[in-house]
Amino acid sequence: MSISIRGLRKQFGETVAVASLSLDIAEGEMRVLLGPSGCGKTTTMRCIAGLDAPTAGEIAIRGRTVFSAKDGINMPVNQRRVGMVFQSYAIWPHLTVFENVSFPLEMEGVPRAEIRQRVEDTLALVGLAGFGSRGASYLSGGQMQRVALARSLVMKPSVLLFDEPLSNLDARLRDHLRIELRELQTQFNITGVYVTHDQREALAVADKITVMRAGETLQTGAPIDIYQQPRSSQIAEFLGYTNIFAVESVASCSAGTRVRIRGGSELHVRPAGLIDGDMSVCVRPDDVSIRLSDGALATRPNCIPGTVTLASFMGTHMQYRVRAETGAVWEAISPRLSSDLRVGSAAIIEVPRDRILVLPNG
Amino acid sequence: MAGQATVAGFGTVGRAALPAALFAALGILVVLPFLTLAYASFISAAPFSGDASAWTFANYIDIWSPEMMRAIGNTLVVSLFGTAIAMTIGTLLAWLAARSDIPCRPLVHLAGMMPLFLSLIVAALCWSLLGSGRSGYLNLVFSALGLPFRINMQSLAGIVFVHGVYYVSLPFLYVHSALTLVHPDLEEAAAIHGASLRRTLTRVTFPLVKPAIVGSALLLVVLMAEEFPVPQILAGPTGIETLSIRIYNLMHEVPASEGQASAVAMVLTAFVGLLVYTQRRMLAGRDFRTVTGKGLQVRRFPLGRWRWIALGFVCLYIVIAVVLPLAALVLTALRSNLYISSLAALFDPAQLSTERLRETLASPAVADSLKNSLLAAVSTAAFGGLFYFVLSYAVYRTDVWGRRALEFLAMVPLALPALVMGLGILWTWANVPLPVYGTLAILVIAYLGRFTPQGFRAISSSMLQIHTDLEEAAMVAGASKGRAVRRIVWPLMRAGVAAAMVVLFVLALRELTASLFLYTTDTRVLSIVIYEEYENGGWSAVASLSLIYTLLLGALSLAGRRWMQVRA
Repeated sequence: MSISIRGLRKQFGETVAVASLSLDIAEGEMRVLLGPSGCGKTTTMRCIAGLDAPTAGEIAIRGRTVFSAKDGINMPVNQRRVGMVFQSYAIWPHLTVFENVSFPLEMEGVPRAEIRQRVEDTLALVGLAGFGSRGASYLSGGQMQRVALARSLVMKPSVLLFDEPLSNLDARLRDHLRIELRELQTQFNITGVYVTHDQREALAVADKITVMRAGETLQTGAPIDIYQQPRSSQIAEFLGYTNIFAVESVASCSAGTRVRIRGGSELHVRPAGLIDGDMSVCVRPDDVSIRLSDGALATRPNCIPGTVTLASFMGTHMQYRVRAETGAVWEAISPRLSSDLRVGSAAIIEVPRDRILVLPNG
Repeated sequence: MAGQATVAGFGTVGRAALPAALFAALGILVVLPFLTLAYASFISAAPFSGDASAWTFANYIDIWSPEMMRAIGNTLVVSLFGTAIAMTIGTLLAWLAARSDIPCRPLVHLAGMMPLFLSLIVAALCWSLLGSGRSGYLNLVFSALGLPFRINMQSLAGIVFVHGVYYVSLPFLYVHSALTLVHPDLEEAAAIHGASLRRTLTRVTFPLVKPAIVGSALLLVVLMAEEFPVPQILAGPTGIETLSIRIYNLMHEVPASEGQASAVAMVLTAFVGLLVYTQRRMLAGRDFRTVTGKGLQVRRFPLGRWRWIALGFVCLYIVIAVVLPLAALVLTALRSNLYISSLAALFDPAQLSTERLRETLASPAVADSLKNSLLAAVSTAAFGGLFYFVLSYAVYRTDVWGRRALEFLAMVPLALPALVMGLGILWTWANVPLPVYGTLAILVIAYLGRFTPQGFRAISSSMLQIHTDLEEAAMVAGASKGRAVRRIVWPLMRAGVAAAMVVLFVLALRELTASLFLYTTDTRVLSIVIYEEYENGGWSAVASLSLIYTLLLGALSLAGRRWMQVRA
């Protein structure tokens, strides 16, 4: 294991930022900590870096214990050999690009000639060859984040930490840098911890995602698994399941299992995975199909009649909102770019049985 | 995490030793003088005099004489009326500079800042020259013009006037920066939702800057209530007393009433402390001076035909605050004969010579005092720059114990009148078996203590502008705490610290009140020499010295502003 965390707890006064967290991150793995702000993801990362001292627990990096409340070990941040890319970039404005990147090597006491070589190689790697003598405060946001990345890569860190590194960049640049970052990370087989609240970014860069909320981990798994099988309606909501309806009752019928959702619609669902207690039906908008109503009564199961309240052209797809006769509002995304469905049109939405997740709340 | 602005990675030794050292330093500079004074107010003999003494409340009972009641009344008059005038002029100038289409806007700015360049001692001396008795220069002018009225600056009205004219910079700076910070979007939103320009001003702009107005007004009341040189120079000779003058007089009676002086000082401190507490409560969480405007496009109120009247007002203010006093200084410094019978004699070229000026400048006493002043000011700036840097760092960038208490202690001198600190420091160090009393060191100690709030604020505000990420990034990159501070924090803060040091230098150079209790014949500083010459009636020396003093302060303040602009 490259990083192993056992029973991590961090309190700021009375506030519990991280309750009791255990993580194992493998060599070369990119682990994303995903959650809303205040969920403890940044605190966890700062504890790994050594910028915050945990209240309790143990942290080991590459088999070496860097923190242990029990044994009174707390290795200073500057000896941990972790790299970190800050949300604010944290580029030193009084130094040049070269001096920013050479800083960790100077601290390490690397010979001057080697520093020059390694800094130039790294700058070329992040696409900043020839920028060395530039004053760091004259760079654009994207360039600053590349410098920050180079500064971390150059020290060949045992772990590379990313604190929402792309959130201050505009959308196009963010997509672009995200791909580059993932390429570099896989190419050099770097173990990374990546903190974000953006689920799209998380799915794209992660080998594994840990979903966090209020200082606890909710679920850990590969991006595809988590996306397809979230463990609760709360996680589902966070991952972009926009159609979530509380289940009112469950009944068996000839065709399998039927659930009644708030407002009165009945849906046929897969029998597997039904649980007792509070549940919700969770459906992704791209799994909901939509068509103009032909006037005939919808007789097929899982077809719900309603009225279009929003039709929005998104370039590659159409986004709709449909108010069902029962009052529930469904969201649907359709790849068919049509202008037949307008606001006020009578429409029928259909939800395939296999795409309906019935998940516990909370 | 929000609110987490401390930097980790501090050794256990540093964690304990740093706050201990800082508490010791602030204890010596701030707490000890105050405690000594409090002690002196509760005993029957002079403190540490060796005379038999007992605990007593007698001092607090004996002070309530008719003179004391008059002094309290006078203090209220000079501080409240002075504040009213200064607030009116300062707020008006700030609004004109920030939000109106007045012509020559830089001039308005200059008008608001100018009083900072002129020492209050010099201002009081100048107005004493201009408006005391029949030979006051302005009264000579009135007489020559056949006007029926004369002015008398040696009165409560005179003190109110000088306070009102020369404390303008503080409300100007507060209100101006608050106005600059009001985002134009807020005003435009009001306009879009139907408010006229006038209603936008009264409903949106004014309420937003109200805290700055109220806050600076309270601060002005404090400063004027404890002000010593202005009332003493103007009205001291006529026997009018404020609380500050009362303390000073009680100490200079023969025999001195140390106990009563201390008790009056405690009363003044309680009053000032209450006001400072109110002021800080009202402004909690805001600091209007540290944030600079972003140069946003603001809508300017069209003054119409009032434009030139407004400009006239600004020019009149400049004439009254700067031109007249400086002219009086130059005239007096260059006169060979101080007795003037008429206006014609005032400008008689035969009477003008540089002889007195040269004489004054050549005197060894003046040269010594200049040397003392510079030495004390340089030491204050150097030690202060370092000390307040460490203090700011401990308070805002570490999680050592007692940070909040240190921050509080650093602001306490705001509530301690200068006279009170001077007295407290005198009794503290006169009885410590260290060779400090009677040297320049005691002046430096007094200045460091007295200007802690200003120095600490100046340095910490520039420190707070440096994101903690920058320092943490250095530590993640392998730098130790010390190296991160040396390589990253210090270089980024150099300009800010230098600017704070210039401010400290100027403040130290201007100081008179605390120094009055602490100087000896060998350690006279420039402000003291001016004051002594004034007490002895040596007006040409007063004028010559004031002239040099003003030039020195003016040059320094300009240099300071240059520094701060480099930083911005």
